[in-house]
Amino acid sequence: MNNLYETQRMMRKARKAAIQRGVIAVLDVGTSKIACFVLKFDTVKARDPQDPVGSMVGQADFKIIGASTIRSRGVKFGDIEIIRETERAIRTTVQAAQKMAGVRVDHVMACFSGGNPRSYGLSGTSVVQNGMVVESDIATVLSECEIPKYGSDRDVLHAQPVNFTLDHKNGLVDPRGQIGKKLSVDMHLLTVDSSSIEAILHCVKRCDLELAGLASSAYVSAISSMVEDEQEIGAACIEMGGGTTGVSIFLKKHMIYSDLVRIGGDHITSDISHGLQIPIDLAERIKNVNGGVLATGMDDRETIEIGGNTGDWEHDKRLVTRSELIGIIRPRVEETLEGIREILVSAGFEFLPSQRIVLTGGGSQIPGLDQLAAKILGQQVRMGRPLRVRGLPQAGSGPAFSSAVGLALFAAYPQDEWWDFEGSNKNYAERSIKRMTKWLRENW
Amino acid sequence: MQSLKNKETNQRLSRVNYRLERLWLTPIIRGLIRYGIPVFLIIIICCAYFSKSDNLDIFKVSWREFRENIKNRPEFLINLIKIDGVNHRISNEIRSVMNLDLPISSYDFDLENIKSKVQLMNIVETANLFIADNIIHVEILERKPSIIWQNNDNLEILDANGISISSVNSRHKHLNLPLIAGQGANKHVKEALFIYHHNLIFSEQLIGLVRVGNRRWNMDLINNRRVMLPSEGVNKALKKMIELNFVYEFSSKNFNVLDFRNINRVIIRKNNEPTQTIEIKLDKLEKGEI
Repeated sequence: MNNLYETQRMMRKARKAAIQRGVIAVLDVGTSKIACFVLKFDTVKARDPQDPVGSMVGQADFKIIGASTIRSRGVKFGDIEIIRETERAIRTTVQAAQKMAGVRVDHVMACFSGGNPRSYGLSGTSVVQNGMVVESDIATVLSECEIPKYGSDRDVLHAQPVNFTLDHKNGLVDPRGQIGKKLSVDMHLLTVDSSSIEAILHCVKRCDLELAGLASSAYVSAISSMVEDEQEIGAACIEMGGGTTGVSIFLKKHMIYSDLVRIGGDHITSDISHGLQIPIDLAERIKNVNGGVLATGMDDRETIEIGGNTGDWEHDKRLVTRSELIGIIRPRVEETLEGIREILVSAGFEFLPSQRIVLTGGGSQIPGLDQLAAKILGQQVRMGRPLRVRGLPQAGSGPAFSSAVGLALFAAYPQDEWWDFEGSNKNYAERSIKRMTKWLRENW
Repeated sequence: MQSLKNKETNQRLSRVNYRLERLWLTPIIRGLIRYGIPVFLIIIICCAYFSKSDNLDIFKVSWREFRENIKNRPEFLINLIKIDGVNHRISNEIRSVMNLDLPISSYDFDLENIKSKVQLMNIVETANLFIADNIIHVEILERKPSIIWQNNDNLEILDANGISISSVNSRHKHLNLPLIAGQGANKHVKEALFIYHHNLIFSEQLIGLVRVGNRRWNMDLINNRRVMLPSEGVNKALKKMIELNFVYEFSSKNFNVLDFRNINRVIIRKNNEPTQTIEIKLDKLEKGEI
């Protein structure tokens, strides 16, 4: 725990250094593709307090100057399985993005979907020291939270204070500067397997890059594809990736729950491959071109040449109707959506003020998915597309890139996490040494 | 299980490739490779080549030949000097001052230098030199002789600014020029010319002007007569002379010295009464009492 705490702080420092340099790369390590964007930050301007705050505020001061995507290798269910393959894939895409940007990238932020994410809601209470809440009080109350036993082989990926309560005032976003006695906090903790974090760290290190942050891809794709009021009044973002489908629930602009269904687009492809007895890449092509989840009478007449390259004429000239294809795809999609429904039920999604569901990710492009999802998940389903970001190429603006775009936004405006609050009471010795060095620096 | 061996080399290659590309994207390395190495190489090659003295000599010779070839192209050769604004004699003089062996390449002389040489000549007031169509055009504005200055038995012809044009042995050829004499007279040629032009009364009798004590002018007249002029206000004195002439008719009078040094107290010294002076009072004159 403490180790990761330090790691996270190091990453924050690396991020600060990257922003000072003006260039940072974001890396979305997915099961089916790896995307890399190179961001260039303009000179950091203080935000004008008179400015009306709109949805795009502050998002104009970075620009994507390099982008590349390649097929992922060695990743299964969002986890890196063959490190060398993945490392090479990362290297190739970073190299291509760098080349397009024309600058060397030293810092990279990564997101991944695997690692068995598990959410915990924590709460803690403490007494405010000097009447007015300062940063150290927040650090104290955060450290008062009772940490669940999430296992020694797991690490904290996100630890975000979601809600503060000061005496009787509930729902404070930032209690700093307010006056009260008792401060309590609700915190959302997301843990993942240590091994998946280590695998990413290893890959990034082998590419001579420095990791400046890690995020869950369900979280970052929600940032890019949900609008502000959805994040505010409560919504779930469903990111349908290649190997996994991530769910993240937002309330009051904070993620309060996140989980994963280990089914994705690749499973549909492999179903088609099995069902029609064709190679995987052909199955992928047929899925993308002819796929769907809602069959109509028309689809019985529409035949698809499925081909094949076995050399057996009978085998290679087979025809299937589109209804048959839909008959293969639909059960898998339904299975995924049912898994999502279970997650939403266990998260208590129906108690949120709004039950908006946003579908994003590459898998959400199946025609008719929104209607099928509406039948299983509830009526308020919409397709989410990532926010437009300056400099993003057209090819990178589809829903498959929502997590990469979200990571870019996250790189520019990270959420305050536990480790961002200085001055924990627990490390008293460390603090006194710090104070001493500060005194020395000031007086010598 | 797939064969790993082939992939292994591939992996290493891709890693080397990646690192090289990152190195290439590093600004300092990029600058060094793009500019540093070529410049360094050129310097090294030059140094290696010229470290042999033979090579340096060969280079020097071929460089000189190259220069000569270009210099001696007909486009750069000067065939003629054309001098405008002066007579034949002076133009020959200017040619000898310019001292150019025609034909000559326009790279072999300095036009500014020649111009300053020409301009230093006494006869030349301004000179304008330029090269066009393989000809040096020299446009001369000659100094105009306006006065002769007798200075310790030398006769010098001066222009209106008092600058010496030439020395002469006798006045015979220059009888039309007025004569001045005395030390420092050349510095006041303008005043002298003014006196010559505005001297209406003694114009027939005037021999020349004499600078006295480097301070004021004397008009020397025939028959050994003199008119002394003040050091300041010569024009007033000349005016007064004209006014008084109406009454006294100096030109017809027999006097030795006419003293205008103080125009309010003009003195006439007569020949036959060498000790006697006559004082003319201005107010009396104006009243018509004299």
